[in-house]
Formats: sequence, C-alpha cells, structure tokens
Amino acid sequence: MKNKSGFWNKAIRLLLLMIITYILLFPMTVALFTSLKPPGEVITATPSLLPHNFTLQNYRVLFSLREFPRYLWNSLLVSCYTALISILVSSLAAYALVWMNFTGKRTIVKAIFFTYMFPQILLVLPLFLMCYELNLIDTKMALVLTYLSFSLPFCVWMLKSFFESIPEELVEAAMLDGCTYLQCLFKVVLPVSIPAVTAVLVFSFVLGWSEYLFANTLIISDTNRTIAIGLQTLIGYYRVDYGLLTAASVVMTLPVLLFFVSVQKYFIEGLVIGSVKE
Amino acid sequence: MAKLLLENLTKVYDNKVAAVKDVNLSIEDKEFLVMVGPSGCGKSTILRMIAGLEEVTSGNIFIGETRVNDIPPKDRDIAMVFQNYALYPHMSVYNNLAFSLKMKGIDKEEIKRRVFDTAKILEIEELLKRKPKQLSGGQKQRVALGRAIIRDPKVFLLDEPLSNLDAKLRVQLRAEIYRLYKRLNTTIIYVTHDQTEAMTMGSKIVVLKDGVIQQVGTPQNIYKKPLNTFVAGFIGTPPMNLLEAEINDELSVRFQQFYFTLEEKHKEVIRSSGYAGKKVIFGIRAEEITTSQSECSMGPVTGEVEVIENLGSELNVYINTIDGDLVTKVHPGTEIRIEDQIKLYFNTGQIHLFDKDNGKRII
Repeated sequence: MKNKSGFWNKAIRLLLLMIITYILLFPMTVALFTSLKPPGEVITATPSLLPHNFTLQNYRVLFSLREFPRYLWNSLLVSCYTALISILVSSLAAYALVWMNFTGKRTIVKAIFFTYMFPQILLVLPLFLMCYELNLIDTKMALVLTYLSFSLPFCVWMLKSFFESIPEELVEAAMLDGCTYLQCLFKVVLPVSIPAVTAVLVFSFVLGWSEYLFANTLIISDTNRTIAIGLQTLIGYYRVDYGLLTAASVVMTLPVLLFFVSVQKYFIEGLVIGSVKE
Repeated sequence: MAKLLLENLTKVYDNKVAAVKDVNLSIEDKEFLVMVGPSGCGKSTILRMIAGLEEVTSGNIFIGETRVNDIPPKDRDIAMVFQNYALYPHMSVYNNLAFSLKMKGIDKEEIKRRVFDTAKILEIEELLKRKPKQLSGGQKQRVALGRAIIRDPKVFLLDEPLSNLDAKLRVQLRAEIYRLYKRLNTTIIYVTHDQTEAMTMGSKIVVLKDGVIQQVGTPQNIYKKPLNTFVAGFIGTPPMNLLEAEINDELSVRFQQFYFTLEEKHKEVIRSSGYAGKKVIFGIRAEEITTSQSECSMGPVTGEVEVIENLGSELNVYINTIDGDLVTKVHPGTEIRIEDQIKLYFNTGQIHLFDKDNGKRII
C-alpha cells in the first residue's frame, strides 16, 4: 500500500517537473533547433520543431561577420572584470563588516541594503550623466563600473551572511598564527567560503554578460558593443534572419551555460548556506 | 618562555558590562596556571586580552619586560588552543601545523622537520594527510595542540580545550597535556570551568567570579583554605558543606542540634575579630564528616538520607538535617539506604568559618 502511494507521489512530482522544465526550456529548444535549420525551413506554413535538414550554415555566417567575435570578446572582458572586481571588493567589504570594529558599521550595512530599493531604469539618467562627466561614455569601463554598482550590494550581502557562519575562532587562530587582516582573508576566509565565492562570481558574471539596458545607453560605437547589443544589430529593419539570430543567441548562452554547469555544485550549496545562518 | 604580568586589567564592553575588574596577576616563567570559574566569570576574556584578540579597557599586560597592550596578536608570540579547535578546514593536518611557520617565512625543509617532530610528540603522524573533517574530536584537539606547540611560543593559552570531548577522552588528554607541559617546560595559561581539571593540572590556580579574582594559590592551598564561601563551594567535589551557625559568648559554635567549643588558636582569632555572639557560616568538607564518632569528632547531627551517589570507590551521601543539607563520603560497603535516619559527626580539627554577610574567611 505504502509502496503504491510512493509510486504515485513520485510520478506526479516527475510529471510536474517535466511540465515546468518543458515550459522553461521551450524557447531555448526552439532557438537551438531553429539555428540548425536552413533559411528556407525557418518560416514555413506547417512549422516543425526539428529541422528536416540539419545545417551549420547559420553559424558559419555568424562567425564570418566581422563584428561578432568582437562583441563576444567585449562581453567576456566586461563580465570577467565585473566578476573579479565584485569578488575582490565585496569580500573585503564583507570581511570588514563581519570582523572589524569601526564606527558607522550599522549605517553602512543599512546603506548597502538601501541601494536595492532603486529600480534600474531610475538610475539610467544619473549614471549616464556621471559617465559623461567622467568622460567614460562609450567605454567598457563605464559598463564595468555600472554593473559593479548593481552587483556589489548583492555580493557584499551574500558574503557577509556566509562569513557570519564561519566560527570567529578560525579568524582569530589565523591572526595568532601570524596573518594580517588581508592574509587572513585570502588564506583562510575565502578558501573556506568557496560556495559563496562561486555564487558571487556567477551572479556578477551573468549580470555583466546579459545586461542590455545600460549597455545600450552607455555604448555608442560598434567596436565597444557587447553581445547583448550585438544581437540586436542582427535584427534588420525590414527582414529578420531568424536562423542567424537564434544561432547568435545559442552562442551567447553557451559560455554562461558552461560556466554554470562547471560550478553549479558549489553555487547551489552557496545559495542554501548563505541564506540560513546556522 | 616568559613571565607574564597583568596589572589592574579591566575590560568593559560597549554595553557597559564589566567583564573583568581590576585583575592583578603575576604568572611566573614555566608556570602552569589554571583560571577557573563559572561561565561568564571573565576567564576567557582575560585570556583573549592576553592574546590580543580583545582590546584592554584599562590596565597593562606585560609579556617579559614588554608592555603588549598595543601589539597586534601576531607579534605577541603567543599560541592559543580554542575550545572548538578552530582548525583550518580547507587544509590538511600537515598544512594546519605548518601554517604559522609558513607565515613566518621559514624554509620548507625546516618546516617539514618541525611538522614531523610535532606530529611525533602528539602521535598524529599517520593523520598528516587528512583533512580536519576526517578526524575525531580527540584527534582534532591533538592537531590544535600541535599547531600551538610547533611555534615554540613564549606563552601557551588554552581556552577550555577539553570541553568538547567526552569524559573518558577528557581524562586521557588531561594527562597528556600535563605530560606535554613537563616536556616543553613552558608557560601555560589554561582556562576551564571544570574544577577537577583545575585541581589536577595547575601548579597555580586562579578562581574567578564576576570578573574579580577570588583567590590565587596552589590547588592544595585553595582546597584547604578557601578565602570565601564562593571558593569553598566551587572547588572540590562534592563542594564544601556550608551551614549557618552562631558563635556564642563562650566561643562555642552552636547549631540547632549540638554545639562544640573552638580550639584555643581559633578562639583567639574569633575574640580579636569580634565575631563572638554573631552568626557565621560554618564550612566543613564532606570527608571530614563521619557516620561514627571518634576522638576528634563532635556531634551528632541527625538527618534523613535523601540521595546516594555510588562512585564505586566511595558513596556520596546527601542528608537533610534541620541545620541544613549536608553531604558526606562513606565507604561503599556501608549499609545505608535512602530515607534512613543517620547520625553524623564533624571532625572539628578541619573546620572553616566565614563571615555571614560578605562570605570572607574568618578561620
């Protein structure tokens, strides 16, 4: 009796998961298969998911476009810088907030939380003007700085709550063993915080990789465009080459997907541990 | 190895709670000092101030001739063993041991030699490749001790190092730590709330309560001559029996059931300190109470047996009398049962009298 109800329980759960996964993956699947269709097959009277003739023609065209590798490279640069600076700055900030005593600590914690409350669109104009004043318009630096202002509050918060779960004695032992604050952070605290560090890296990398609004506002020249904006340039005024567009989407998704798959074990652990203080 | 001096040491936290009040203490070179007291008595705070992990509110700490108040922990040449071991979870045992030496920039060969030497002393050679999570509690604590030993520091600080271990392992490691102390011949400050540990390990004991030193002395001295009722009740298992009594004008100690006359040397003290005719706290150790009368015992006090604790080698018998609750030790062969009415006799050669108001020792 028990076995039977267990079976149905599992079956229903599996079915639900399948439906959810199907809904979530449907656009991706369509994009993937469309990118593998020859131009004549993309839009037909009787649409089919699977291509009748598989072809890599769209990818060949895509990489023959002069700008496309540059877009990818720009995105990679911006995302990597955002991720690396995020982890560096947020770990320093979180370390200070958790283990150092200074006046105004609580105010700073509150202020960091406060920055969450602004919708992004509200910040477009002020950030644009700031970049203009600083002569940063149409530079990758402008994008990195902007993305940092969004990624850092989250990263600091994430690392702070993770650091709080590390026993204080561990840090104290390191201090007694001869570490300075900085050595303690890099030799003890960060290595034991791998899950949180991974989560922070993934978050800030994806933010930099897929952001559209600011990339579109702050970048003007073609040479500085990121992939998210580059994708838009493939959409023509009168005609959209869906095969090419979906191929570009797939290429854009791949690095993030690979990155995520390789670190997902730590990432999921980090999400759980950071959220609940033991 | 160095002498340590605490001078008017005080710690007041931000919330105005004074954790340590005006502590003066001198710890000699190569001394095994044990700080003991109930939770929240400030013993760990003192240790952390010595280590430099806690700021000193006022007063001075000297290690050797140097005032270390403003010297960061890493430059104090002190090693500390924590209650929860605090091993670096991402490093192997080898690297845990080697970490402080690496930080000092000592060369690899020398590090290797010292790690193996230390591992040999603590018999953890076969664990060197393991990570802390693959170790048992006792092994972890050994590694933590090793991490302290390897540095050859001036002073060792041990903060309740055995509290997380089970009873059997605790006794075993207690002996090991003491052997280690003899072998290393160094200064150790050991903090514990367990008075048995304090009595068995320390060459000098400091009893603390509410951030104030109650008594400093050898284990024997503290056991035999506690300076106040707190120390009397805290040190010793079972704790000292404390009863209310009155000293009458003839300088006899009077209970409700019987009275006895003080010895001549004690009479003089009572007379000169003006306690004649006053109420006092009378203290007597469990082993000084007997169930049979002898030449030097006085009594009897009659009461009902409430609890019997069988420790194998002896029985602790808790008796309820109209003068108060008493505990005595009897031979395990003694015929005694709960609710028995028994007579007790006090060995009046080994008594303690304390002031009723402030608890201070009179004799």
